[in-house]
Amino acid sequence: MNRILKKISIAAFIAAIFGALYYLLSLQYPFHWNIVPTDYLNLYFLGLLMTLKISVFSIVFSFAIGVIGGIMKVSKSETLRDLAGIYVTFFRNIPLLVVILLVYYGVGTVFDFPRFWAAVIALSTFEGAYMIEIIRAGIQSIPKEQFETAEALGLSPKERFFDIILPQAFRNSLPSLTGQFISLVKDSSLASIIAINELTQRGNQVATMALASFESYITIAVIYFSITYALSFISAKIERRFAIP
Amino acid sequence: MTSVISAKHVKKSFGTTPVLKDVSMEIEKGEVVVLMGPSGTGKSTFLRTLNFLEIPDGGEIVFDNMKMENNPLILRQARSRMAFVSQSYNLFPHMNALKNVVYPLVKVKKMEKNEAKTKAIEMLSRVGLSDKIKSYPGQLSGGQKQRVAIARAIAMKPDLILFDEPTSALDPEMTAEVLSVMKELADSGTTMIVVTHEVNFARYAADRVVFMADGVIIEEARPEVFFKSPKTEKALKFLARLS
Repeated sequence: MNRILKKISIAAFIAAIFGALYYLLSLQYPFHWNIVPTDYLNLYFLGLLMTLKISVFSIVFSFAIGVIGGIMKVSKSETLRDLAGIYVTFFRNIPLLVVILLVYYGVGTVFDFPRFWAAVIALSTFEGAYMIEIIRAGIQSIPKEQFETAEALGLSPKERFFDIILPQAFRNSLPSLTGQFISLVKDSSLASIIAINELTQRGNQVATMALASFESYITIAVIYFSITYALSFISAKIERRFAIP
Repeated sequence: MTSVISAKHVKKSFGTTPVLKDVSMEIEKGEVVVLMGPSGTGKSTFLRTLNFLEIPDGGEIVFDNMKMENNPLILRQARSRMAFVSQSYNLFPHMNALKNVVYPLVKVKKMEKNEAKTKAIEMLSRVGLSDKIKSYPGQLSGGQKQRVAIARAIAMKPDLILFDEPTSALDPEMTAEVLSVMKELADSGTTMIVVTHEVNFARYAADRVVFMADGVIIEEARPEVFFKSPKTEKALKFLARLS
């Protein structure tokens, strides 16, 4: 009870600061909440859908890259380890914005794929590099005796990996993975640079149409916050559900 | 008497450091062999070469008339009949005690699930843990965990059980409960090789004590002979330090 009270008072304190800030700003900037977002709800909604669509595809693909690359990174073969290592190094050292531009204007024009897929490919490959490191760390956090015991029992490499190592590695990685998924959702806003009508792009459009940039950006900030907060909430649930006693 | 496993001239180096320099040993059915010696003399490494967790650099290992080699089919077959219990982290933490025993029975022994369950419950009762079958390793004490590991080992009906310092991570009370289970196994005719520093266990349960130092077997004898009058200076020193 005491803890909840504490939390509420902290929240109230922060709200008060924001309130004061908002009041000071409103002295100079005329907020038009009756126009934005109210008159443009359908545009925000479309933007939200597009953001979710990009995010879901990219989460699935980047996770797949993470698992495959993570396994490669701990494999016995030096070639596989190096391959995954070079991939990670490459994507960790260029900005996502540049990756998006490269994929869209470079690879995209050569192979002629729609901008939606350019965004998904760029996000997946980029975030995948981080997922690889997360999965690798998850696998390496498992004591070596677990690998040995599984081997000594006569389990096949496939059984060892999928029944013994991966379930434990996944549990260990879950908190970091959630963090990366959240980053991915937020990073998807960069797809607006190639004129995909996702949430940020819609926010831009409304801002110029209604001449109410502040209101529009506050609106999308609140929407992003809701998505990512929901994500961490769901992840906490999953973590508890799969926790090993 | 038929030999269950025989190791001939086994050699193993880690990098440039030789750990096993020509070790030979033969174990007969029903025999309990205790492997003793100072730390870092290759006892554990030798045990691990027997089931090919470490692949020997030279020599040969024959298990039940089958020459061990680094071939997945041979290893899987051999390991399904040669159980291994190590110091710690034996159990899979994401499976409860029952599942830990059932899982390899189903996967490796291809046993039907219900049959495996019945078998697992029987074995867990044998090690005195019938009330813990639903517990996860994280909810068990160190001694209980090792007993589950032993239950899993005997459920596989192995021809040989290898114990690699099974009690060295446990406090004295838990050591006693694990050793009593192991003594019972020894009495019931299980063939086993045990690396341990527990003199009392060796005295009462072993048929033969093998003393290793510096990567070679220095002497071997029945426990009553070995502990009373060791032949070598090294063994004498070692035993003096133990007691």
